[in-house]
Amino acid sequence: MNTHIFQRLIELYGNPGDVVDFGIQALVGEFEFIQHISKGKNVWSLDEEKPTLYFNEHGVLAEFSARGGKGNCIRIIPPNSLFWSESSFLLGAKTDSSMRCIKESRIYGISGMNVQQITAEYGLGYKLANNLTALDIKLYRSRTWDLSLLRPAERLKKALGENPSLLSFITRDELAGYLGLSRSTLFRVLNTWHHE
Amino acid sequence: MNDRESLVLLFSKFSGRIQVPEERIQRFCSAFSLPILAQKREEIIRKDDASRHLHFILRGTIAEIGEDEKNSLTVPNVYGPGDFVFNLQRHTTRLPSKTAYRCMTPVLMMKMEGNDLKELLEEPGFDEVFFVLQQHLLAQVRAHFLNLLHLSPLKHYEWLLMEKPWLVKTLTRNQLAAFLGVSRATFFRLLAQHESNR
Repeated sequence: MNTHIFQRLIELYGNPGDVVDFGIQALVGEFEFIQHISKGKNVWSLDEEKPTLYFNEHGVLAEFSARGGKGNCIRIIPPNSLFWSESSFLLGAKTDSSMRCIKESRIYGISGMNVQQITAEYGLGYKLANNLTALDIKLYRSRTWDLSLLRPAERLKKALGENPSLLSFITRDELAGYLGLSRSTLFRVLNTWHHE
Repeated sequence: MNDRESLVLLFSKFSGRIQVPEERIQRFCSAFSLPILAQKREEIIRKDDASRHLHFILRGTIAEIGEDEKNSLTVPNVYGPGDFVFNLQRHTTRLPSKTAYRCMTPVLMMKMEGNDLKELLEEPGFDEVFFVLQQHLLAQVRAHFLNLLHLSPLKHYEWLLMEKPWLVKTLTRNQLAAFLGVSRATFFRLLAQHESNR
């Protein structure tokens, strides 16, 4: 497990030197097992304090943003990846989304306070926070581009290209929300594909 | 209060729990130029530009405008007073910008040269200030994405009329349609529907 977390952190730090390597090792050492999570359960819900950097071992998770009583899926967390609540981990506010398990997994995490202490001790500065924020900006820009420019069938094709097993993990309603489509449009696209 | 003092105040306000030392914020803000005026239609970041200049808008509107491979227009974001404008494609992917950032009105802004920003970020502690700045950028990008995802094009248009009337006034119909993620024809239907609802 530690090797996978180390790998993900190294990717965030680019090509670090020895000092940074030690800092990353220290960060990895502080990740703790949090829970074995089953499908349908939340890692966090709305309005919670979760200033934690998480690692998703082998399952799949989906983040939902709620507005006007309707929750839309904003991102899928694939196996073997880090994830975090932007508002809580990066900004110290309460969560403004929920993170739901859609395929059972084991979740590990390190608290924001531990991250701050270790990054200060090893002189890692705000590189981790900056790189996580840049990843978020990149994701939202890419999704904005897709929602603005891609036709429904193209959106679905791209989403399935990025997450091939998406159809087996999330409901059609959730998928429609993720793609910014109505349920009927999604079904039209799926039916067209089925008949091709 | 002059423009630079307003910028310092804005940074101090948004640094929140990070509590960046005041003198560091002062120094970062003093690396911005005095207010400069960019003409309407001027592109402060061009397509294929790899620059890393940082701009802070005091007055006016800047739209990020691009085209996909089928020449369809896209407007991923629009920036107004109090917003930072940065080459986000270069920043997040290290690739040159695939869009242009164009002044839709005359724009009064302050500018930090890319090299000055780079030098500051190499000094200890300034990555903290940059983190505060990135929170602004993330909030801008995230807010527009969530509007696109959650609101119908009509509701989104009505939200813009209420919250950002300057944006509706300065974009062309084609650009507004692209910003809302709909075709020109759909946008005109939406306008008719909006009128009939009034």
